[in-house]
Amino acid sequence: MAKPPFNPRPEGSSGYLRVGLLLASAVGVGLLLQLLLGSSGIGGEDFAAASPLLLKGLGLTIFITVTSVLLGAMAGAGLLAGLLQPWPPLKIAIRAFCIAFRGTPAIAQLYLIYYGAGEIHALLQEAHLWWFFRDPLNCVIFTFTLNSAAYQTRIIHGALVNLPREQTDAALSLGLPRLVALTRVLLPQALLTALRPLGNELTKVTKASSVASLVTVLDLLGTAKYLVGQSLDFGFYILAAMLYVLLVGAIRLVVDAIERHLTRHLSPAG
Amino acid sequence: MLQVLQFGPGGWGGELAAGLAVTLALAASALPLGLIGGLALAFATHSRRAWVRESAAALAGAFRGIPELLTLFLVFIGGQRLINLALPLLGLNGRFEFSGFLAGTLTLGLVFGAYASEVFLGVLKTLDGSSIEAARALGLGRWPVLRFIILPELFRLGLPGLSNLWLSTVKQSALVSVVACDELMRKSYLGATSTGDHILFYGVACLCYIAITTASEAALAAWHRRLSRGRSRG
Amino acid sequence: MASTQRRPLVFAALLAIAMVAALSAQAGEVKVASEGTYKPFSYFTAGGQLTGFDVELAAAICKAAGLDCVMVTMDYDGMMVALKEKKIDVIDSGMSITAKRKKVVAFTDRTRTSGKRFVSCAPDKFKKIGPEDLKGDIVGTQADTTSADYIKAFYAGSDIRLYKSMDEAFADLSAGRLDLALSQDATGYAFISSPAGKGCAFVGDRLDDPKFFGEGVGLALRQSDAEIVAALNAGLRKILADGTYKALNDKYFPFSVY
Repeated sequence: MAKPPFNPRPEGSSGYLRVGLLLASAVGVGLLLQLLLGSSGIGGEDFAAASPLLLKGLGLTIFITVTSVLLGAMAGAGLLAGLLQPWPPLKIAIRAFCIAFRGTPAIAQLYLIYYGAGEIHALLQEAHLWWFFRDPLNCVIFTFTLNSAAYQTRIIHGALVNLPREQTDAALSLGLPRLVALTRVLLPQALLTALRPLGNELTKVTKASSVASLVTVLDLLGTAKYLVGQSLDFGFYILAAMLYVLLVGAIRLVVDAIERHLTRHLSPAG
Repeated sequence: MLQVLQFGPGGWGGELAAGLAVTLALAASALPLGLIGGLALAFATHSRRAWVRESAAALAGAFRGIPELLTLFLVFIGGQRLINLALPLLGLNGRFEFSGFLAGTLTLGLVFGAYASEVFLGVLKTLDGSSIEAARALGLGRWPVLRFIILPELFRLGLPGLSNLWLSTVKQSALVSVVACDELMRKSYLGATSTGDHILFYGVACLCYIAITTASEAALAAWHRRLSRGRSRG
Repeated sequence: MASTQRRPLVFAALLAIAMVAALSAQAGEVKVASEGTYKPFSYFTAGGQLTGFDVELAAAICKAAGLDCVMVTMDYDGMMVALKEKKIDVIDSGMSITAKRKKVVAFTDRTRTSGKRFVSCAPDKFKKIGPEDLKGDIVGTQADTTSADYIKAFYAGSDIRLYKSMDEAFADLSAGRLDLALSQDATGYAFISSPAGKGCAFVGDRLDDPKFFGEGVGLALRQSDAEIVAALNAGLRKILADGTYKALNDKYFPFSVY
């Protein structure tokens, strides 16, 4: 019985908190460097003026992320239900949707939807849909909802398919209807496996949402870009970076805690 | 409509094809950087020295937590600034431009490395020491053991995770359009704003990305199957 | 395994490609940056050719000044930083010469006027353009420009949208996401005369308050490059005198932009 050659590093999210502290000192060093290099660092008044804007941007980023992932989950549930139907054309359509949204960059999807809607705005007006696509924020949330739905469908479907066959057999042999077997036996187990990838999906959308800044939405990155343009001081980018790391770290901490709590009944090997 | 896309001076077809080539070049150039970086970070995490461990964890965490677009801005501006500082110190007088392509390659490589380190760490945990012990018993030194035993295993077991990273990198290359690098996304953007045919250009760009990702996925899956043949467990 | 031995070479080759692609150290060249998304001043034709009034004007001035100029494109919002960091030497994107900007950059003499006008694609709705008249309407322009400063100063009651490029602002204007767009009159004119601008027209009079819009549009350079500024000014005077400017003007606009 061979001993593993490497001692496994204890897994933890405290690394992210450390990163946050590290970046805070990075900001300090950055400001020091800027003073040395002769350009104006972010002075006290500039910071005071900028903070409310940055916080507003942070709030908008959180809003976009949470809304898109939640709506995406609902849409994903629908897509999953469709995938489980014994109807090939529907399955093919859903798979094509997933390939389209998982195989293309978010920025391309956003430009296609935002500028595409603008191009056919006359048609949309006739269909009484223009009021929705007119607002850039709506376009961003719409894009990320579809995007997240595709990924979440894949994650949960993958988890379902990888469940041991015995689970389905046992449930059905007990006389449980298919739907009950699915919702009461299979899905809970699949969701447990899917927790980690779903947590990743949340952090992924948090970061990807920054492309909203490219279509006039003042999320965290958009606000930072605006401030840098006004002051010509790219310290605001470092501030925004620190805020993103803290945000992603916080999300990761929460998701890990939920995962630990929900899998506490499993043995360490599980 | 299709006339806009024709190849040659009248249409944008040639421009888009050139952009596609640059996209692939970006991802391909980032790959070696990311793999080396990921390996370095993974091994640094097992270092005996605490400051090396902590720095590696902090670096990896930082680049996993910062949006790629922001990292791109930081590298683009910061890189140029560093070059401007470094050149006089080295006594060179010319001007070196830190191009959008270089910033893109470095950014994509850094992000790839940060995530790859996680893949490698996960694989390292599952490795058992039996093959290494056998190699040591045969008298192989540290470096050959690394090169012929550890790295191939790392690569084979990590291939699924690394394949995902490759796909991410190809998609993230679209962000480099924002620093005026002439890859596919930027060409589509220029074509769309110039002609007003937004749906056409962005639609074609999306189709190209789907083609690249689907082809990559198939090729990588086949490669993984080939590497795993003759093994009892994946 | 042969592949383990080949792999390091492949990596080295790929790294080399990256390095080669990045090297662009040139001495003596003057890099002139424009946007490429700013019709009719700087835009790309179908073949990927960069052209436009500003682009051709800069080329003519450089030729008359005897300078070796290279035209590059980049997004407007990155230009000031790029100039500061010596990525580029000249900003040729319709920057208005204002006192605020003169503190950080050096300008050549005026290359064209900088009067601004509002454009609307529902011109009958907007007979008057005072701040109270436009309250609640959606007004847009390019970020970090004198137009943006003007709108923020006077039209705070409106919903202000700032765009990466003027072309994007006009795209949203014709799509109906914007009620009005503020731009240089020549840019607005080019939009109105294009197919996308059908039904759109100028509203209100020309705005040219020098406090906001300065003394015209010029090329921006670093303050340390005084000799290049002088050379460009000499080139500009030359083409104004020998008719090259007029010919270029007439090629693009039916009115004088000087």
